[in-house]
Amino acid sequence: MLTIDQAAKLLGMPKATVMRWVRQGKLPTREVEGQTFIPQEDLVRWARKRNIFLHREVLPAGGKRSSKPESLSVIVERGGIFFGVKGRTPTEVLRRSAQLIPLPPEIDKNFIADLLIQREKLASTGIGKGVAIPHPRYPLESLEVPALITTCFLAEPVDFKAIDGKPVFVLFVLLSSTTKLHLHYLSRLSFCLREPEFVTMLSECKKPDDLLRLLKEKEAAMDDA
Amino acid sequence: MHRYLYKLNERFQLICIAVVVGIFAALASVALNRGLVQVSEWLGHFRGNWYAFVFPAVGAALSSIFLHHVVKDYGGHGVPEVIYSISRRGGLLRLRSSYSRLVACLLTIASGGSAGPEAPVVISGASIGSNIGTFFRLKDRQRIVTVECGAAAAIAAIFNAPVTGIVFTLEAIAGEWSPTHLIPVSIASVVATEVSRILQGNQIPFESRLFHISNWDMAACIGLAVLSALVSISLMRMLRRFSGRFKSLPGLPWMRAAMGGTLVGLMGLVLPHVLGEGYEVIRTIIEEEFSSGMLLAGVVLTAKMAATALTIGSGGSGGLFAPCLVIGSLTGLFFHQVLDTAMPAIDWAGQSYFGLLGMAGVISGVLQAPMTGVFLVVEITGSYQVLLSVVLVAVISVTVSQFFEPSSVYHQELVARGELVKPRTDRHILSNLNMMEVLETDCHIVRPTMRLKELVDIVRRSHRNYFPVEDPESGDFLGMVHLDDIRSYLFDPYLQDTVLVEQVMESNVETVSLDDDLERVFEIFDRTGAWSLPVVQDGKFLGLISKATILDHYRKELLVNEES
Amino acid sequence: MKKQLLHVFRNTPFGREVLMQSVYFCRKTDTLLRVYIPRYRQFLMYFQYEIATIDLDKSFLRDPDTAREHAEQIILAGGLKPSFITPKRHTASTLPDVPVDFDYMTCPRSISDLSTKISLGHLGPKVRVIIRNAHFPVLIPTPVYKEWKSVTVFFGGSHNARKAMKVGAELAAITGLPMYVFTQAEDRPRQYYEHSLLEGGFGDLLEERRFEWLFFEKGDFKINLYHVPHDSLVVVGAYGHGVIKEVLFGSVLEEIQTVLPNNMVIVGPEVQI
Repeated sequence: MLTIDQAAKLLGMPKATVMRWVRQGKLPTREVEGQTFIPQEDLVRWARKRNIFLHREVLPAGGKRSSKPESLSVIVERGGIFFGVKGRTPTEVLRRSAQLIPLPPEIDKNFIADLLIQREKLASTGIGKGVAIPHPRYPLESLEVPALITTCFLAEPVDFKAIDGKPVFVLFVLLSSTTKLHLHYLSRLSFCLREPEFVTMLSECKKPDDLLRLLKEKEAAMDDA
Repeated sequence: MHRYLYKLNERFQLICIAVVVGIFAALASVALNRGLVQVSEWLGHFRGNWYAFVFPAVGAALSSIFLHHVVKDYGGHGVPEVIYSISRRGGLLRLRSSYSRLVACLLTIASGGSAGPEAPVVISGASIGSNIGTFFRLKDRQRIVTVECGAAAAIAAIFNAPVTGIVFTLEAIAGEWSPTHLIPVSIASVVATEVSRILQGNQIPFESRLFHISNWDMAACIGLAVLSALVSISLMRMLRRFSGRFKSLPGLPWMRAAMGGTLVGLMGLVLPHVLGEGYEVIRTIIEEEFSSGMLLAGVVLTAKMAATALTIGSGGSGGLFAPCLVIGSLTGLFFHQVLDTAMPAIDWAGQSYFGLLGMAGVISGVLQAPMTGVFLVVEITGSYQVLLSVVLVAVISVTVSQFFEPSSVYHQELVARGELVKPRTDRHILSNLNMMEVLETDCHIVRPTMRLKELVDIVRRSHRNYFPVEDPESGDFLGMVHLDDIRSYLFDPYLQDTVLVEQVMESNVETVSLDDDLERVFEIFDRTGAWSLPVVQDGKFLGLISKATILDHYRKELLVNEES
Repeated sequence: MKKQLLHVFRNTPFGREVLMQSVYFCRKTDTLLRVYIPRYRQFLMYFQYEIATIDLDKSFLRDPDTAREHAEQIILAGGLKPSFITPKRHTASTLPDVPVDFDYMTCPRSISDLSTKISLGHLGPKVRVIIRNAHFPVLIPTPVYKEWKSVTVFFGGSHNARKAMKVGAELAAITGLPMYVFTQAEDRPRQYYEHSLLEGGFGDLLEERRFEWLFFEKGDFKINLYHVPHDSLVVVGAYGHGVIKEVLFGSVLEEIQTVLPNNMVIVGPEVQI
């Protein structure tokens, strides 16, 4: 059972509108002690029939996937950090990297690799200074996993045809479920990479912890600013 | 499965309520009918006396006093109120409306005022429907249906004509034909007719004989249609003029009603045909017993129109239905006499035939509801044989009438007040949305003394293009900054430090207030080409209203309105 | 969105006091005051389930030329800006429909009857109709202008009392005034009321002791009412629909409003929170 307030949030409409709909008898309602409630299942069915979008994320329970951005270090840690990834062409390294992404077994990693390679063919994801951020063309909405970045340090630099022509030594493979999140992580990452000293330190990373510490420091500085 | 049960439930529920509404509305109809007969009979004993001309005056005055001072019902003549209630108020009607007009119209008509009992019965039935709906705590959407049930039942019961009840309600009152409305309305109509038959017997009010219709008659129909349309138009105009005249007179409402009543009474001394609902006149015409020449028919016709306009225009209580029928039959009679005089060689189908067609013509012309006219005439005369001619007359009459009078007599008042909102139209949706619902309040308010640099910071954090400027002390709205206007120098570092917000703001902006309706808002949108307008109430900025948000709401409203 | 209060102005000395009360309420709670100056003897308010027909006595229509001017003076003196309502819709040409989409409405104890009837213990029939149907709380001011320095909520544990609690807590929060909660325990332990508060989502209010609880386990209700501060705005819920409920439960509101001479906000059964 939802109160009018909750139903309004779910529908993404002002309370006044929902109250009017209740009065006009356009919403399925139930009255308990003079207070009007809207049964959730009825509302969902009602909305589906009319093709009305429900903002499910506001529901206290059913919200499986949070759309709130997390911090970089969290999703980098989730994606895993790998050293010495082999390969001589972008396609090769992308195939190898895709296998390293920690995904549930039901997801076909070759499919992910195809998506990454497809995107790479459109335009290089090498953003210069020896860094590339491979990602699929569209956010993976169907993917029921939280956003993640898998970091792959390459065994030897590979030419990604980056803007500055420098060969790439590290990949940040970014998978996320919405465009908004995607852009958020991308802009945070590029903010870090803007500074030459960060890139230098990046190239000196030897252990996963080195990178995580580096990111945490950087993010703390960013949030303070 | 559960879904079907739920849907079935709602429909079933409405059907059950429709039965109840049908019974009660029929009882109201029958009560009025009986009352009219009783009082008229009683007054009939005195009708022959010289002072009889004051009866309509006393009746009208009493009815006005009853409405204004006893039940304090300041509503109009009924049907427009029902239409207003359905189209804009979710079918809410006051309980007092269920009896107030009945008593008032009983007083008016029985005393001799020229008006009909149908409109009062419609509002009574509708009000009964509304209050029964409310009793079951129905919401607007369903309550509208019960109101329609009440109106249909009332008409069905008073004319012993179930189909007319249905058609009249859907055509003239609801303005839409959809199964959700049709089914309960039909049920109520049938139930009401049945109740009325049980209580008053099943008789066709004006039974007609068989006609012999030739091709000449069919051709003459066209002429009659045009004539009846002209009669309808002049009746509507007379009504409007008389009621305007009377309103401008000084004095209390009951005095005006008394004056109108006196005039009608005086007319009645000479031509008794004009008094009362006038069903006797129809009966004699249908039975071909109205023996009068062309001239007399014309005079009675004009007199009846004048009497009706006087009675209703002066504030007497009653409807137009019955007078329209009488006037229609007189029109037909007049037309027949003209034909008979001009072309005596042809064997015309008779005054009964033309009288019947005239009724359909005038009723359709005045209500601008052709199907109502057709079914009413067919049902009250029991003559399906004339169907073809009746349809022809009704349709032509409506077309001509609409050409001169764009809206029907019931809609006129609402159109004049700007309250006519037909279902499923753009206006209907816009009138549903109110300013408060589409108001966006997540705006960044800026100060006039802010430097451009600070504004740039705000722009970066905001997702909007418009920034309202407020006086920090009084909180008054000063103007708007529109990003498009300042984009060119927004990022000039030199200007950022030197220019103040008040120098770049537009102070002469169109604003809207909370009381404006969206129609006006759109007018301003169209005129100014703006995408957003500030909502300002008494000098204070309340929020923005933007086309994008309205579109979103508009679409939702359309989706929500979908049936099933 | 700023809240709005509807006020029907009566152009008499008594009407002035009532308007001053509304002005004070609006200033305290940062509410937009919307004034309707009647021009006809009757107006309608279309609520969800009922049309309230408000018949006005002649004093409302007295001297319409000065009415607007008087109202403006009172409102400006109170430090607010006058904002008048002109009804857009009409049921009939002389029968305006006053809109109902407000957040509060001020009613004197009686609208339609003569002002001589305005006394403690009398709530006019029209005021009752409004309370019964309105989806907004109704402010019933004292007959003479009186400021208030605190908010007192009557809390009896019921669902409706929680509504009153919510309205009262909001008012206290906006005005920054101290809050009292008055409870007359009817053979129930204190835990019952605490539990009801928790269930209604007032847990933090309870924990942080943001109100003083006037909790009475014994004694006569009417006598205990003496402990309600005289300069407090009283918030009380009105119960249910239907005659039976009114007869059985309606008496609490009746007793409070016969005994307390305070300004009152009545939270009716149709108020949605």
